[in-house]
Amino acid sequence: MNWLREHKIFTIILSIFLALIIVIVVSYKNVGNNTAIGRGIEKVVTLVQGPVSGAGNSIKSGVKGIFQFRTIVKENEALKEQVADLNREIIQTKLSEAELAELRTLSGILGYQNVASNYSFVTADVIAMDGSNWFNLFTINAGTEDGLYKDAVVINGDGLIGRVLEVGKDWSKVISVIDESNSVSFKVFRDMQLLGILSGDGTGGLAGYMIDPEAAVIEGDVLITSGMGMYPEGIPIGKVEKVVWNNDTLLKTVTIEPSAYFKNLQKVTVLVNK
Amino acid sequence: MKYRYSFIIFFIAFILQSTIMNHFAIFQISPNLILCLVVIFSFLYEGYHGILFGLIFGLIIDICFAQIIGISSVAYFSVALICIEMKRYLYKDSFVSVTIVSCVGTVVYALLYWSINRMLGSGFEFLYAMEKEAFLLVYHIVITLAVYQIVSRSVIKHRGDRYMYRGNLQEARSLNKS
Repeated sequence: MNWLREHKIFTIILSIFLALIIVIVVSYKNVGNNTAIGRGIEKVVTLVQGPVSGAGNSIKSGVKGIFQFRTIVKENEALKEQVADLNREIIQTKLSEAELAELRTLSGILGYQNVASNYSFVTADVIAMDGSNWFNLFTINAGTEDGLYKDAVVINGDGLIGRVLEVGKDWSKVISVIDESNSVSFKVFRDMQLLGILSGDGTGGLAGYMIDPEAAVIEGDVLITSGMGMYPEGIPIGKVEKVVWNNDTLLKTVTIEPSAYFKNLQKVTVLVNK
Repeated sequence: MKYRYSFIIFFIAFILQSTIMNHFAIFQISPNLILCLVVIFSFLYEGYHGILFGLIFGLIIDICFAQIIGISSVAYFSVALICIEMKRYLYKDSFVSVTIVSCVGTVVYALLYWSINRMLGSGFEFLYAMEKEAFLLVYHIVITLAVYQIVSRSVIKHRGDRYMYRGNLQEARSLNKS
């Protein structure tokens, strides 16, 4: 004890380090389950971030308006939303008609409910993003009040964004698909028989492999979610950038360019079970 | 500086970093304002501003934006300790010292943050992380020097004094008396 008293500063620093290590270990074991204190802090921070983020957005669009006509900016925003909606519609409608008809007949026989119609959409603003430059975690201004829950799927007009990691009353923390350690099952939009599995590649992109090593996937193929696992079917993930045959694993690996741009998100849509 | 003022400065920096700075990121990279403040407050100011608020805001950042809580806090805390130690070897009144401290802070933070994340299962590659740090280094030096220019007048007293001393202490004292 005397030694500790004599080396007060060293003891304090060591205790802080130990306390932090304990915090890290505990939170590693309980990822996504924040304590009441953590939720309180996040609620207070979100209260401030919301208006500041709104002001930042309007400053940004204001600066834009100086160089472009304001009306064009508005029109552009409206068109973007429209394009996003249309893209979603195209994906939905282009799911092979015959397959759809077949599925409908089957669903009638088996009493199966259509997955797509089970979801409702909640649109939310991104109010804060982490400044780490590596990860893409962000906070949105919708929470349990709007019907959100942990692991709800988040998309935007371009495609799959990620899932809800943690949810509060009027805020939610979202983790992007490129930061995920969990894998996502995909299929090729051109030929929906071709299935594969992807996850973050550690360099801000996505990489995966085809389940069938002889699958005829080519560069430029659009990938969509297959419907297996937590992500519903038909959400665009990205485009195949490179296809390489891996001799060691005997798998056909693909590098994928995500269709969503994660660094400058402003609005997202959350799929919520009805 | 009083602790409540430095808390307000850190809080404003945190809010700006998480909201507005992302809109104005260049090459998809936005500077880490909290890190710059930790470096400046630990190196230039007496007391425990950098170390205390680095610890607190590291935890807040992790609570708000990370899967695992405590990593940023450990990194900021270590950077603050190193900056305090560097006070013993570097003069505060030169912008070269501040540049060196800023570089060391950025590199130490990146290495610690990456390695702890890696140990806990994150898949980020070392080179991917470090190539971003090259841009960040420039950002942080510019920000730190800009803040240094603003605060140095109040922090460093008698900034011109070092030019009076030529190696002979008695001569310097006599100069002061006259």
